[in-house]
Formats: sequence, C-alpha cells, structure tokens
Amino acid sequence: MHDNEQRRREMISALADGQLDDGERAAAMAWVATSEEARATWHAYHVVGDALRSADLADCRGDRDFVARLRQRLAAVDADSAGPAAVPLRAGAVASAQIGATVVADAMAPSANDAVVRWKWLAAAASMMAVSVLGWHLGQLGSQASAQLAAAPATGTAVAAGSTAAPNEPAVMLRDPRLDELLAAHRRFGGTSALQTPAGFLRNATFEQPGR
Amino acid sequence: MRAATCFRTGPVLLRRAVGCFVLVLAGATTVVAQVSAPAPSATVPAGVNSTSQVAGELGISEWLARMHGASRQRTYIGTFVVTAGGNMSSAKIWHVCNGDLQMERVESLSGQPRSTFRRNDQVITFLPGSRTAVAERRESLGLFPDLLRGTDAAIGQYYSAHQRGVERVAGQEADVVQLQPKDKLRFGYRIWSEKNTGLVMKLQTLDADGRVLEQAAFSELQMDAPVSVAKLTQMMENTEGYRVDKPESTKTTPDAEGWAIRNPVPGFKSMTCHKRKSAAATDGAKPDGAMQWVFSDGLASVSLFVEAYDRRRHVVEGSMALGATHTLTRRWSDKTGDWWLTLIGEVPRSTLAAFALGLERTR
Repeated sequence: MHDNEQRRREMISALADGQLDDGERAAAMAWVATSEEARATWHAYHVVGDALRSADLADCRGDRDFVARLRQRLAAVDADSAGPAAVPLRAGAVASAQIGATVVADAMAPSANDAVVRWKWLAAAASMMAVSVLGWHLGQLGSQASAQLAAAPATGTAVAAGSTAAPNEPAVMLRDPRLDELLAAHRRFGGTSALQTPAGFLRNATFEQPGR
Repeated sequence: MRAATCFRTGPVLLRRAVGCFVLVLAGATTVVAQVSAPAPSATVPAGVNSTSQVAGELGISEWLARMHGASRQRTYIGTFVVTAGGNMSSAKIWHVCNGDLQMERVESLSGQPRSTFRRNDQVITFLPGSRTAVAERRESLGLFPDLLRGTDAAIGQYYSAHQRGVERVAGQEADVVQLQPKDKLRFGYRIWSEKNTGLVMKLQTLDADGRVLEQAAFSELQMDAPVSVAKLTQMMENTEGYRVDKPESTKTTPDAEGWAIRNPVPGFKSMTCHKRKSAAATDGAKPDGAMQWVFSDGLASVSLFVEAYDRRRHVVEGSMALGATHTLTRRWSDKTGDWWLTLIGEVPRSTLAAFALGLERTR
C-alpha cells in the first residue's frame, strides 16, 4: 500500500516537472482533480522546490488560500461552459473535470520545457528529498524511510501551516546548507573551463547565491 | 535537432508575478537554429594555429581563443543577465584591461546586494548585509592558455564547432557558434560572439534535445567605456568595516587521500585536488576534511567531494538540477568503510553517476 502511495506521489512529482506523457498526465490530473491529498502533495512539492531554489521564494503563505479563492470564483462564473473548451489537453480524461483541475491543466499545457526553469528532483529522490527536508523541520530525524514517505502529505501541510505562524524560519530550515556550501566550493575550484574568462566567471558572480 | 524551446510559463509561475515577468524577459530570446551556416565572417585572430580549420570555418580552438582574447583586450560596461532553473539574476559589470592586468567589478542588481571584484585570479566578494567580505584566489581563472594548449585535442575530440549565422544581441551583431558534444556525457553550448571583437555576448547551455538549460547574456553593453583600473583597485582594497573571510583548503592528491578512478569518464581529466578545512563551529569535534577532486573536459567541470560517512548528518541521497548544474549525492561503501559522495558539475546526471561508479578506494 505504501508502494502504491509512493508511486502516486512520484507521478505528481513527474507531473510538476512536465515529464509525463499524455496518458500518464491525464491520469495524474484526474487524481489531482479529485483528491485533496493529491493537491496537498502537489503543493508540498512546489513549496520544497521553491525553498530549494531560493530562500526568497520559500514563503508560501497565501498560495493555498489563493487557489481556493480562485476555484470558488471560477466555479461561480460558469462551471458548465468553461470546461472543455478551455482545456487544451488531448487526452479527454479530465475534460469533464472540475474547474480547479482546468486551471491547473491550462497552466500546465505549454510546459514542454518545464524542466528548464525549475529545480527538479529525479524520481525517488523527489519524495526522499521532500520528506527528509520537511521531516527535519519537524524534528523527525532518524526515522525509517518508509515511515517518512508515508507521512509526506501530512508533513507538507504542517509546514505550510507552520510557515504562516513563523514565516521567516522555514525559509532557512528547508534548504540543505551543506549542499549550498559544496556548490559554492564547486564554483570556486570547479570552474575549470575554457569559457571561464569569457563568461563563466561573470555567470557565477552574477548568479552566486550569497551565504546566509 | 529541436530548436531552443521558449522558457515556459507554468503553474509555479501562476502565483509568482515577479518570476513570470523575469521569464518573459529571458524567454524573449527564442532562438531558431539556422539550418545552413553562412560563410564565416570572423577573421582568424593573429597567432592562432589554424590547422584544425575545416574549409574556411573556424575550428573550436580558434573560436575559444578569439572569445578569450576579446575579454583580454576590451574595456566595457554592461548589464549581465543569468537565467537558470527558474531563477533569474542580473548584475552590472565593469571590465577593464591594461596589459596583462584584467579587472572586473560585478554589482548584483537582483537578490541580496553584493559586489564582486576580480583582479586576474584574485577575487573578493563584499556582502554588505552581513558586513563580510570573502577573499580568495581562483586558480581556474589563470588556466585558460593551458586549457587550450593542453587539452585542445581533447576539446576538439569531444565537441565540434559550427557557425549558425549572425544575430543581434544587446545592440551588437554577433556570430552564433554552436559547440556540439560528440557524446551524451556532456552538454552543448550556443555562443553569441560579437562580430568584430569576439566578445561573448550570450551563452546558452543545451541538453541533448537542444533545450536551453541555462542562459547568460548581456542585455546592454557599452564597448570601450571609460573604466579606471585605479578606481576599481581602490574599491577592491577598501575592506574597512568588513570582516574578511578567506576560505581555506590545502592542496593534496587523490593518491595521497587513497582514491583513484578505476574507469575514467571519457574526456575528463583530473585537474586539482583539495582538502577542505572545516568550518569548525558547525562540526564540533569532528573535522570536515572533505576532499574535492576536480575534473574537466575543457568546457565542463565536475567536482567530486568525498567525506567519511556520518549517520547523523548524511541522510538524504538523491540528485538535483539547477539549470545546467547537476548534483548527485550517495553513500559509497566497500570493505574499507562507508563514505559520502557528492558530485556537482555542469554535466548530465548520468555523467556524475559514471564518476561515482568508477571511483575506487586504494587503501
């Protein structure tokens, strides 16, 4: 059962990264459209992604409220006519779906190059990362991986709630400072490239995240 | 080959108006690779060996020498924009040369304020927020002529250069040069090199499908602008009010540390090996002592970090990608004990995995 849950969460992760083909995407969307848990997972992955990308993006207050309000408003406009016409998905599985899913689908459609623009994690590393990092925050060090995986959605929700209470702390907690440190060391000694002087150094000096 | 795909606007961006704006900026540069390469307009720079030229087209070493030469001869002020992994950063750049001396000032325009100064291979970064300055020597900055001379054959063996016409970047006409990898162990590059000087105006890193992983480009450039060496020197040396950190590491060899690569990854040569001094405060009694072994194929580099496995600290195995930079973290065990590997490089994840597989403990 845990395996099944994990597989579904990996599917959400892949969906977030635009790595699913049409059929899989339709299935994943259908699940997101109908399951509160799936939406919580989807949200948690994005929070983790944001936090990994930048401390500045980690403050996720209001996201869920915003989506909830958007869903309500869209539902109020016209639930019947908005649906299929607005959904550019070829697979029809979600076409009849709820407005909330339509919103997600719409935004998802032009994402062929999704992986380009965001931190992505690869397959199983995703749930491991998400859960371990979030788990940290709650002081659950040392528990079994399977137990952590099973706890993922609940943990994600808890962090989202926690960040409302103390918006400044999770932003720091969620990143892996050791990896940041090694990334900085890689930039320092690893920039061994014939492109370094023409552009590499400028790239690093411009892009480099300062230490916290 | 697929043409570079426009940066997408996805669900993440729904809620991030600022990010959206940024990506629109970066995404405005959708590039369609031209099928036929017109005759090259660039002239071979003096003193560059042109034996690898193919029928009037510049070889990869000529292009690289030309680009490198431009940054040693031109003075300019510009705005530089980097987009990687959904993050955009920009900075104002001052660049000046005087004989063998090259100086640069990079003033961040996004994120937290910081200024970086470079005087040849000496680099200092001021972080006004924490009143600290990080001073370091970056050996890799002095390596270029050696890289080209020493591994020229290797660069040519693993990448090929193709000219893809002429485009305008930041108001300048630029030759578009594609550096195409010959295997799947490395990424490709598309470089916009200013027509007259060779200055790199824009650089894209591309995956095997031709998708843009990251991009660095001038959005605005003032060539031959007045930049004063004396003034930059004075700013660089003025550390008053700052705590100056000097990250410490000692040179070592993989052999001395008891490591070897049993199955080398084609094209990647061992460049340097350092042992990091610990940041004592964070690690308590246990020294950090991670070894950093750097490999390069002339264009891409890989850092292999090895440290003793610590059950409390080393919990998360996995891999991630930020633009072209990939990471791979995993536990490594043999009969001698348990180790924790972190690989970081501007290469596909599978290349990092090949490094991890080829590693061998020699004692």
